[in-house]
Amino acid sequence: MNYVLHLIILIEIFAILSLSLNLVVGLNGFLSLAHAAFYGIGAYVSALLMLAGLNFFGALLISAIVAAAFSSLISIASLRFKGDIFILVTLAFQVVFYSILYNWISVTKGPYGISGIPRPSIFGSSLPGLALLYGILGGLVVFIMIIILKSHFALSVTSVREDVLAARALGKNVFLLRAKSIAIASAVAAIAGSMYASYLTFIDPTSFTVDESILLVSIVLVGGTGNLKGPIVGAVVLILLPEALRFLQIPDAIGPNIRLILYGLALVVLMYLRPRGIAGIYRFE
Amino acid sequence: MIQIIVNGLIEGLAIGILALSFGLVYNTLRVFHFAFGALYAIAAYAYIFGLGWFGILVSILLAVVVEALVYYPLFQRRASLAVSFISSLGVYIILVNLIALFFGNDTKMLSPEVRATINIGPVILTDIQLWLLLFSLVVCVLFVLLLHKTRLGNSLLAVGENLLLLRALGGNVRMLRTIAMVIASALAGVIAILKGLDAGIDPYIGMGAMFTAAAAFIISGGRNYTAIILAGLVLGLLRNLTVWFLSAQWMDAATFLLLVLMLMFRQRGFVSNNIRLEEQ
Amino acid sequence: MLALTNIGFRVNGHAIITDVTLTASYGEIVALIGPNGSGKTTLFNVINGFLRHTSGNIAIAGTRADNLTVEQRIALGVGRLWQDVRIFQKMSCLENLVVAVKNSPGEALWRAFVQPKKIKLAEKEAIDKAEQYLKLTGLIEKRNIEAENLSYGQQKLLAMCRLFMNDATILLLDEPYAGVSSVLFDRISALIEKMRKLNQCILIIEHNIALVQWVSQRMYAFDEGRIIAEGTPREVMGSIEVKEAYAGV
Repeated sequence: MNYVLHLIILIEIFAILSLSLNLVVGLNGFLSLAHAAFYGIGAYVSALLMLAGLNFFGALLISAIVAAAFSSLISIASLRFKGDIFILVTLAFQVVFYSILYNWISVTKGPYGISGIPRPSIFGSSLPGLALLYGILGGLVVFIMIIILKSHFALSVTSVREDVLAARALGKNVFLLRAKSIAIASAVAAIAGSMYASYLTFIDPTSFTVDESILLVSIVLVGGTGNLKGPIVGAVVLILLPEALRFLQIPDAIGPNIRLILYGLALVVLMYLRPRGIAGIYRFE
Repeated sequence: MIQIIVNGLIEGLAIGILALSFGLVYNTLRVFHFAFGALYAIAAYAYIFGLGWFGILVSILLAVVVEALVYYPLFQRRASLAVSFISSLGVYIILVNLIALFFGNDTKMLSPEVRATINIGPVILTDIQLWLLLFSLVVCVLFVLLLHKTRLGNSLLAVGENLLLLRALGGNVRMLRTIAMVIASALAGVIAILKGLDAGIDPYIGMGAMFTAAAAFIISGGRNYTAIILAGLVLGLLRNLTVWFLSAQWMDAATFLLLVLMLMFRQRGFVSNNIRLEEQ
Repeated sequence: MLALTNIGFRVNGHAIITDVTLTASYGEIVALIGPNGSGKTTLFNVINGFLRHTSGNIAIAGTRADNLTVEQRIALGVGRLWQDVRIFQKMSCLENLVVAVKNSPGEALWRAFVQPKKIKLAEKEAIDKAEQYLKLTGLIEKRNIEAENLSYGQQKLLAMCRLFMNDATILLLDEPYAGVSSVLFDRISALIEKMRKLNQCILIIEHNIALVQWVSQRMYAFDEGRIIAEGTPREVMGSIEVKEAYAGV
C-alpha cells in the first residue's frame, strides 16, 4: 500500500511539474533546459526556510516567488530574440545554478545535500496524509491551469508563438506576455520542488541537473503539450513506465537505462510521426 | 601560470576541432547535432573495448546511420530546427544509455599508467597534450585550406548557404551531408580517444564536450571557420583559468556565462538595423 | 490621420526611402503604387514602428510618433494587413479574431481569477463580434477550423477582419488583392468599403494599378524610395514621370 502511495505522490509532483513546463513549451513554443533549476530553487529555498522554522505553505509560497523572480533574469536575457537563443540562455542558467548548488557549501551543503526536511502535517505527515495534501495541491494547480489556458492572456501568448510580428502589429506586448507566462511556469515548478523536498526529506544537487531538465522536456514532449491532458499523461507515463518494465521482468539495475532508451526512441519516432505527443495538441514542426 | 596558459591553449585547440566538427554539421545539415555527444563517447568506448583507433570507424558508421535514418528524412520534410534538435536529443539519449547498458556507468581508464611527460622550459606537457597539439594544428590548417580551396570543400560550404543553387548546379546534397557527418565524427573521434586516454571515460563525457563545442561555435558567429578555432582557444583559456582561480566545478558555468554575454552583446547591435523583419 | 514629413530611411549606407512627405486623413483611401523594391513596404514598416526612420518625422492621429514603440502606435489606432498575410496558423478562425481585441480585460491574468463575471462578459462580446465578421466574410462554417487550412484568399479576409476586431482606425493594407481569386475579390472590396464608411484612414499598397485607381481618392507614385508623383489617380496616371518610370513595369 505504501508503495502505491509513493507512486501516487510522485505522479502528483511530476504532474505539477509537467503542467508548469507546458506553459513554456506548449503555450510559448519554447524548449527550456532550465526547468530542473526552477524545480531545484523550489526544493532548496523551501527546505532552508522550513529548517529555519517556517511552515510548509509559507515556504512553498516564498520559493515560488523566488523562482519567478529568477525567471525574469532569463526573460530579460533572451526574450527579445528568437527561441534558439532562449534554449541556450536556459541552458546557461541551468549549468550556473547547478554549479552554485554544488559549490556554495555553506548554504546548500553542496554534494552532501540537505536532510531532515520537515513534512507538512496538516493531514498527518505520513504517506496517506501527504498523498491527500499533494492531491489537493495538484488539483489546485490543475484548476489554475484551466483558467490560465482558457484566458485571453493565453490566447495572446499563443498568437505570439504563432507569429511575433503579426502579434506586435495587433498591439501585443511580446516581452511581457512571454515573461509573465514563463514566470508562472517557474513558480509552479518551484511548488513541485517544495513538495518533492518535503516528501523525500532529503535533497541533493543530483536531482537538479541538466539531465533532469532534459528528462522533463522529454516527458512533456512525449505526453504532449498545449492542453491539460498531455502533460498529465506525460507524468503518469514517466512514473509508471518503470513499473511496467519491472512487470516485464527487466532487472532493476538496468531499468533506468531502458526507460531512458524508450524515451529517446519515443522522441525520435514522435517527432517524425506524431509531433503532438501522445495526448497533446501543439505540434512542433 | 604559463603552464595554465599553455594547457588552456592546447585544450582550446581541441575544443576548436570539436567546434569545427559541430559547426560543420550545423552549417551543412542545419541540425543542432546533440547526438554529437553520443558519437563522441562511442569512439572512445570502441577504442577501449578492442578496436583501438578503429573505434573511430564505429562512430563514423553510426553517424552515417543517424543521418540516413533520422536527419535526412526530417530534412526531406523541411522540419524546423526545433524538431531536428529534439530528434537529435532522442538519438543522444538512446545511444548514451545503450553505452551505459553494455559497459556500465562507471568511469573507465583507457591506459593504466601515468602518462609520459616532457619539459619545455617552465612548462610540463604530457604526451597526450603533444599529440593533441600536433593533431589539432594540422587539422585546423588543413581544414580551413581544404574547405576553401577544394571543390569538395566549396560544395560543403554551398550546401549550408545556398542549397537551391547547389541543387540547380547538380550537386549531390545527400552525399555532401553524409560526408560532413563523416568528417565531423572522424575528427571528434580522435579528440575523444586522446582525451579519454588522458582522463578516462564514462558514458556521459560527450555531453560536456558537445556543449563546449557548441558554445565555441555559437560564440564565434558560426560562419567563419577560423573564428571558430579562435573561439575554441578562448574557451580553452577561460576554462583553465577558471580552474586555476576558482575550481573545476565552475568551468561549465564560466563557459555558458561567456556564451550568454556574447549572445546578448551581439544580438543587441544586430536587430535594430535588420531590415529583414521576417527574421524576428 | 497620418502625416509623414521628409521621411528617410537608410541602412548600411543605402537609402531605401528618401524625402517622403505624405498625408492621409480619416475617411480617405490613399493608394501607394510603384514597382517592387521602391520602398513601399519599408515605408509601412516605418509607420508601424518596426523600423526607425533615420530622418524626418511622423505624426499619427495628431500626435508626434517618432519615438513611439510599435505597441504605442497600435494604441493610437494603426493596423496592418501584411503582404504575406500572417494569420495565426494553429489558432482557429474564431480565435484569430478574438485575440485581436485590443485591451481586453482578460489580457490581465489576475482578472480571470478575481473578476470571472467581467471576463465572461467581455469574452461573449468578443465572440459575438467575431462571429459577425465571420458571417460577413462567409467564413462562419470554418470558425473552429485552424486557420492554416484556409485558402490564401480566405486567410486574407480573416486578416482584414482582425483589423476590425482590433479597432484599428489607420489602416496600412499591403497588397490586399494580390494572389486572391476573383471570387473573393468582391469580399475584399466590400471590407475596404466598410472601413471607409467607418471613416477610417486607409493606405493601400497595390500593384494592380488599374484596380486601385477606382478605389482610391488620392495616389502617391513611388520609384526607388522617392515619391515621383502625387495627386488624384487621374493626375498621377497621366503624369510624365510615372509613365517614364513605369514603362515596361
